[in-house]
Amino acid sequence: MSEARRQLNRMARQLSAMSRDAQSFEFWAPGPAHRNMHASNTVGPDCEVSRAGFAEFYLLLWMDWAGLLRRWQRYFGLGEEGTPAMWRRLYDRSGAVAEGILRDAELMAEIQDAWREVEPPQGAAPFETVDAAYHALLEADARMRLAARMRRGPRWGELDTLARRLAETTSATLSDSAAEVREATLRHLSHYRHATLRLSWLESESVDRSLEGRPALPRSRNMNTHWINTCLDTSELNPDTRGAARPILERIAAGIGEVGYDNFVDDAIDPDMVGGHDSPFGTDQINLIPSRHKTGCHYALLALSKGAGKRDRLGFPRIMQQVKVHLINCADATKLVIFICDTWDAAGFSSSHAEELAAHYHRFGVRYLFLMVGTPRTSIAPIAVDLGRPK
Amino acid sequence: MPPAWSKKNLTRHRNKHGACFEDLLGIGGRVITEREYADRAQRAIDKSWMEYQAEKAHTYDDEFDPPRLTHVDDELVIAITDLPRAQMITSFHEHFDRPHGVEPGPRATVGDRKLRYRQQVLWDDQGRMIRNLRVAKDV
Repeated sequence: MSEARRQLNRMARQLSAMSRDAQSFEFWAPGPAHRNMHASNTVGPDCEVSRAGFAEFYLLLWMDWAGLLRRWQRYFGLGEEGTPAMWRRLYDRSGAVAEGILRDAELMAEIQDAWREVEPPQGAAPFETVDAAYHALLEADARMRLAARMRRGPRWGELDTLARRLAETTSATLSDSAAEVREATLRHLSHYRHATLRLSWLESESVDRSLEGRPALPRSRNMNTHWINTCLDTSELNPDTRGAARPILERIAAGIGEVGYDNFVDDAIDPDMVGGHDSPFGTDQINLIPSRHKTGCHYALLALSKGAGKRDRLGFPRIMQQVKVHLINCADATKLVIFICDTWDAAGFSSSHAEELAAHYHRFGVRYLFLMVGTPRTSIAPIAVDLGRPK
Repeated sequence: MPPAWSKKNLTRHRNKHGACFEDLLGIGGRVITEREYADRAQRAIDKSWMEYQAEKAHTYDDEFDPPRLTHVDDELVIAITDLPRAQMITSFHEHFDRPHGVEPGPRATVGDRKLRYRQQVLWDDQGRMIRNLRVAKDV
């Protein structure tokens, strides 16, 4: 199961419970401001929660879950038909509750009042621990996203200012913190982005577009992609196929750069992965090895391998063997092979695979891009492979 | 049989986290005893509303601690034990990287505290601050 699906399951359970409580008479009935309520499905029986606190957490959970659901559909290429019916119903139900909360001026005012009481953690002192940094950044990010959603009420401007100031302070505090705290925090944020699919090409068009391009979560350094030009220039691809290959390589580079090679592979081989324009490959006109889906032959093939073990499902020898089988089966269609690995045995490649790949190169015009995962495992670079002249 | 503290661990954690417990227990003008600290930690287990198993990430490498059980009570006193619940690892008061009493604020209800803590566990799971999370009890 992909990490994103696991998170969707977990959050759906919580959102479903909160939605049951949010549909109670007690939540919506008129009454005094800043009152408490019961929410037995959410916080247990005989336990009170502030109505404003419940509403704020509901909005945040709904935004997180609904946003992730939309990104999950796009990333895996599933669409409505691939989405569990229970999630579709929850999406509609929880969306209606959220809209009701956002339209309730009194409730919005209560939430805004509570915000004025919250101070940023640690003031301006550098973060001493990764936990503190990580939590502070996510808290600031949550407030930015909530503020962007709550664009109603006379105090919205003040709320937005508070949220932006918190985000800027927190980001600056991270910059002032020790290098090892910064690096470790960014690493955990990378995992967070993967778990919630808040990836650059998905987030720019998501429900969080209202952030106007100013998200509070810093990103790790983007992968250096100069190698793509070099790779394509030396690939012997004709201009048309080079044009088709470029967006695939750029998307792969973005994906591996943002989530790391291991997460990239886990998602690529997940049973949910269909592919498509928003997938980690940037297209649905590509075959994938390994894959559980049987599709026709496409112009491009992406093969992913990890390790060198002969018995490993993702081991270099087994993946390479599958590539060769694919090239035989799709001799007339596949013209571009992108092979990504994290280990390279030059002698083994020459003795076991080069001749067959060279045959497809010379006879059918297949072109190969061999890419190696670097250190850290968020970078890739081309491997120079010469398949020789025609015999 | 309640989980046991090693002498060294109890002293160390009482010294580190005792001040918050003094406030929660209304102890003024003296330092909380190890007995009081241990009793309050045990109460967090006995009255927990949330209990989960997870492995906590090391700070600066890709390694994780062995799996442990975390118990959380209504005041957000946390008690962490080994899986068989034979050993107490630590106990502290969670106040979200802010001074004691600030977050959640003094007006926060038990329900507010539960929501806040649940949010943090979700973020920790998403960011691999913890892994292999299994929630055994949640309200």
